[in-house]
Amino acid sequence: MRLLSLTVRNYRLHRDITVEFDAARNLIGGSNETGKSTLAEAMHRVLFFRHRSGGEPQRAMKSDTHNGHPEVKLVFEAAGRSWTLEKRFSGNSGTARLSSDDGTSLQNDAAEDKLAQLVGNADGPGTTLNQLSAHWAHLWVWQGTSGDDASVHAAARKDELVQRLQHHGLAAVMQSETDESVRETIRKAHDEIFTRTGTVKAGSKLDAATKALAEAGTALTRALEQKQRLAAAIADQQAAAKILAESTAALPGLNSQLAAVNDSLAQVSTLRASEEKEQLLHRNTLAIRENLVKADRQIRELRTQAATARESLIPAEAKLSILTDQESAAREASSTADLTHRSITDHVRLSRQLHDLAAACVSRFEKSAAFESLSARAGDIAAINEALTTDRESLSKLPAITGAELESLRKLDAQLGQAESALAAIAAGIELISSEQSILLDGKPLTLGSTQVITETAELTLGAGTRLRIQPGGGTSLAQSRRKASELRQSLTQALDRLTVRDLAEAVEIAARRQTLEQQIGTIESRLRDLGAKGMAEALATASIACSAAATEVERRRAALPADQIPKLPESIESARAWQTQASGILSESERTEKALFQEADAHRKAHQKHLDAVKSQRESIEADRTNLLNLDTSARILEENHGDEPTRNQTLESVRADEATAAQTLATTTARLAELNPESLGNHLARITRSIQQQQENQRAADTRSAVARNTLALDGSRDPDAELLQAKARHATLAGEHAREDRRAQAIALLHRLFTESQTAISENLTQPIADRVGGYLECLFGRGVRVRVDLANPARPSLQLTRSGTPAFAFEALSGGAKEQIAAALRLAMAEILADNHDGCLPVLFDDAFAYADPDRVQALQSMLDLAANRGLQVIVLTCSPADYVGLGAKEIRLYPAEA
Amino acid sequence: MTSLPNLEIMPITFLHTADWQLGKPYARVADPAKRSRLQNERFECLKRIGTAVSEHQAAFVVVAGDLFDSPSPVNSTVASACEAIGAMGVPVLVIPGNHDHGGPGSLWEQPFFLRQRDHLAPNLRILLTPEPVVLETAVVFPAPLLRQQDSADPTAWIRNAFDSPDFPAGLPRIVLAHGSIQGFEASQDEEDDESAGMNRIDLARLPADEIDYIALGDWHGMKQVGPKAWYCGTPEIDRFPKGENNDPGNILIVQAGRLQMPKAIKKPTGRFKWNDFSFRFSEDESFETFRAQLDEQLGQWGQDSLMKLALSGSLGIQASHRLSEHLESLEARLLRLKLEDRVGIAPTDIEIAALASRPNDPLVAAVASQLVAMTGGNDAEIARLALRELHAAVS
Repeated sequence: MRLLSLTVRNYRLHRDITVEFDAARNLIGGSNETGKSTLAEAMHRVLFFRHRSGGEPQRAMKSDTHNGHPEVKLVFEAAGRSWTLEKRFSGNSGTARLSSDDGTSLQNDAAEDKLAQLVGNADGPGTTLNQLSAHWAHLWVWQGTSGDDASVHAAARKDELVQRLQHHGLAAVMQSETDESVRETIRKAHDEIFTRTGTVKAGSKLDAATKALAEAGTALTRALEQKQRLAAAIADQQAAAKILAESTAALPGLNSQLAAVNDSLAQVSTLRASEEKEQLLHRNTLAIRENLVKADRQIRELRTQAATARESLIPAEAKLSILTDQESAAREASSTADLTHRSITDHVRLSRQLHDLAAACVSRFEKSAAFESLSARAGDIAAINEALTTDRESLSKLPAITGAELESLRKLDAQLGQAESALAAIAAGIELISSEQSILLDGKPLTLGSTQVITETAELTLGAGTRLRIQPGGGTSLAQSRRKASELRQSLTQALDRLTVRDLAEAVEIAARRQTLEQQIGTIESRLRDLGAKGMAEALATASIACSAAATEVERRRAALPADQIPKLPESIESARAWQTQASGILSESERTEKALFQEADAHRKAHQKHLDAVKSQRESIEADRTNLLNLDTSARILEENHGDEPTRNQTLESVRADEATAAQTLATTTARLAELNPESLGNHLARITRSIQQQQENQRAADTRSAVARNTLALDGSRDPDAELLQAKARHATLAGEHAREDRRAQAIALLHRLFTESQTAISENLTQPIADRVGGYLECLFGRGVRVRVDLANPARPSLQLTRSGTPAFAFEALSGGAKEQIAAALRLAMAEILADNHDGCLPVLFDDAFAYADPDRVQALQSMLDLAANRGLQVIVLTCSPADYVGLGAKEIRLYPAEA
Repeated sequence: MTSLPNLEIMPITFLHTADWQLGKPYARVADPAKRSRLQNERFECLKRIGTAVSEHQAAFVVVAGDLFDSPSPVNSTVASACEAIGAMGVPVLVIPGNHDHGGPGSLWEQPFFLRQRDHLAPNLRILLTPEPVVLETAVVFPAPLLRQQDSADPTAWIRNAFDSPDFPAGLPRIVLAHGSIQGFEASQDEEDDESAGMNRIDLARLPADEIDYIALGDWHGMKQVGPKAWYCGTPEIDRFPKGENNDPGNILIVQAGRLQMPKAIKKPTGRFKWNDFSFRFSEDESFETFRAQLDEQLGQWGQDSLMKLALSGSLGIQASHRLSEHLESLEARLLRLKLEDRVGIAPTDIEIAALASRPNDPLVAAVASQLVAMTGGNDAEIARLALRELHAAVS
């Protein structure tokens, strides 16, 4: 079917307009409100709106500005002919006419019927907007609907599409109502069992069976455990009974063993007591015997010792007598020697006193001589000291001029002489030779003949009125000379004054006198030193004291002598010395004699002492022996008093020995009996048997407890039968396992069916939509380049879906696309469907786009033109309505312009 | 020989029974009412034994073990048992078996039991000690089990029990034992018996001439296992029979005298029927055959029957569905249906075609085709189930 021309009259803003269509590409351009969409609507109305219809659609066609009813005439090709369709929309009076180039001419309803057949409108012409909007919705894009998902239209046209596709052998099958109903049945069955994610739905039969089976499993476990508890209790009971039996069997034997051991232990205890007593007894008899034997031996020993001691006393006493005699003789001799010695001692003393007196006399003479010598020298020293004093006084009266000072004076005097000579040579001299008038020099009158040396400026007054100023020559030298001379004179004067001399000559004389005096003093001082003047007084005093001391000594020693022995004292030192020598010889002789006598007396004294000691020692020895003897006798007597005399003692000893033997015998018997009982191991036996008995008793107690516990477990109250419960639990578990298996198998079968239905339906759907997708692909490549594919899913007619894929990226849904892309893809899908459906219409259908690409950017518009061109090339008649025809210049379409002026 | 035979002595009559298994839980029976019927019938059976006692003027009753199903039955079971035993009126001598073994904490020591016995069944005598029991009319040699499993022969003591004979002359000597014998042991019901025993009794080692009758328990069928030895079997069947020569549901009326060969006469006491039925499906039509045969075996009284049903082979989807429905009704009708269902679903060609060749329903056809293909693979069972679900959804 192809549109050839359209004429519209009295249709809204169009009064009368005719548009000729190109067979393939048409562009109707015009700004807004120029009636582009109205033209499209008029075409659609004439094709699908019943001519006699009124109502809102008809009213909307009417023009506000032009009189007359809306009329539309459309010339088109269809079914191999050219047709002219004319309709006048005037409500009930509307008309329709359809004529063809073969002369056919149909009116009104007949025309409508034929028209419906030609355009493939099975429903016949519409009378309402709703009905109208369904027609060619898949081919014509009305303004504002370009972005709709065109697959909706594809779904709506599915039957026709399928029919066409089947015609081409492209789609094999399409599901039937039965298919649908069976699929729904299976889906419901599946949904009853499974959730969307494929898990088993809670509350489903399978879920209930699974839960019931799990519960039965738990119950079975519980029943088994109960049964096992009972079995364990029975085993416990049996084990406890066995232990009890064993213990009961073992205990009597152990008890009798215990009794035997206890009996043995009692015997041991008794025997031990006896043994202890017997040991004591035995020890006592032993001690008694030993005491007796010992006492006997002691008595004998004491007696023997006493006899011996008594015998030894006799010679000792004889010896004492001899020693006593010897001592008496020695004492006599010693006494005699003492007397002799004592007499010589007095003689020695006197000799010494005389000798000492002689020595004192000698000393007295010597001290006296020394004192006199000293006195003479002291007189000499006094005379010399007097002369020295005189000289020193003379010296002290002279000025103290030293050689150096004298020299200094001489030097000053010489320098002054030289200075005065020099001054005199430089200065002027004035000499008054004669004058009548008084002449004054510096106020002093000049005397005749005297020469005045003027060494400085001087005023010379001559008479009353003449004054002369005299200035000596030499200038500064004069002044210097004068000053030097003055200074030297002053220095000399000062030096002389200091030395208190008149002049240099006197100074020289004094100096000579001083030198002489000083030499004399030196000589005197030297003599004094030679005479020992220093310490003379002290020495003199000492000598004096020594003199008187020596005299006193002589007196004292003389007074000490016995009166009859006092000699006449010597007169001179020589006689004194001779006496002393004589006395000294006598003294030495006496002393030698005394010493010899003393030694002799001492020897006698010592000999006597020795004899004395010997006597004493002997006496003491004898005394000790006597004491010892007394002791021995006493001890022996006491022992005999205690133990009796010898026969008694022998008798007692015999008796004690017999007792001892008896005690030893008894003790040996008891010890042997004890050894037989083996008391050491008895303790071990007792411990062992007691332990065993305790162990067995403990076993019994434990077994009793265990048995009681087991009995308690086994004591059933008769309300339940664990065996029966176990059987029931097993049976229930088995039954439920079977039911579960059944439900599970059915669930698997349903799942399998559901899967197969879904897969098969998808396969069928894909068979249907693939040709569409293939055709769309060509258009999409115009728009988006190679690699873009579309998938159309019409499986659910209520919710068709369209998905785009670009190689390498996941599919995305139509709804997710931008406005521009939606428009373009929708257009591509429409073109694809139109292409397929066009087979029913001589290979061509008009596809109209009314401002369908509002969102397209200029680049994309170029691509769109290429897509539309492809559609035209594939046989479709493309009609584009646009307010910007410049965008489509690349399409190469026939351009029809509308202008407001035409309206 | 202890004494010369006294031919004047008349044999005595007593009842030999065992394995009452009172209180058996029948845990595999899911329906509480049915379970209750099964449990109650074991006590009902005791009334029939009581009738037999009077009918045959039995001097006493020996119960060769497993009077109770458990060593710890609930009080109501104990009380009912004592009441039923008390009603028998003659001495009832019981040894514990492997199910109700003696020993520490056992039922027989529990105060409740002792009170019930004293109060309701003074004629009940539990023989817990391996020693001869001299009655007025017989000497009994009990071999009680004092634990569930004992590797020792419980009758071992009897071998020497006659070394110093001091038993009243002329009284028949009866051994009372519970356990399996050489070459023949009680086959246990694997699904409802936790007490598989290893209590072996060596009959050959018992002094045959000293003994006049050996009353055995444990094997639930009736069987003579020696010249003087019998298993009496359980009086009310409690498990599906296994093997040949299994004859449960009876008691033995025994006539025994000293040095006489005993006579043991079977007396049926059981009520419920325990059926065993197997069928293999070879084609869908065989389902009808199966149903006919089953109906024939069950008769009218399904409510007194239990059935062990072993099914194998395969059925088409529809037939399989019908089988399921039929099994459902059987389960409701029977006291118990123990099913071993190994029937596979093998969709018929027609069924496959009906699902997979649907030109107008391409989706169903595609799914069905894939499932059919899978029935040859690892997930065959699931695929078949899925086919069945699909079949149901399409129908």
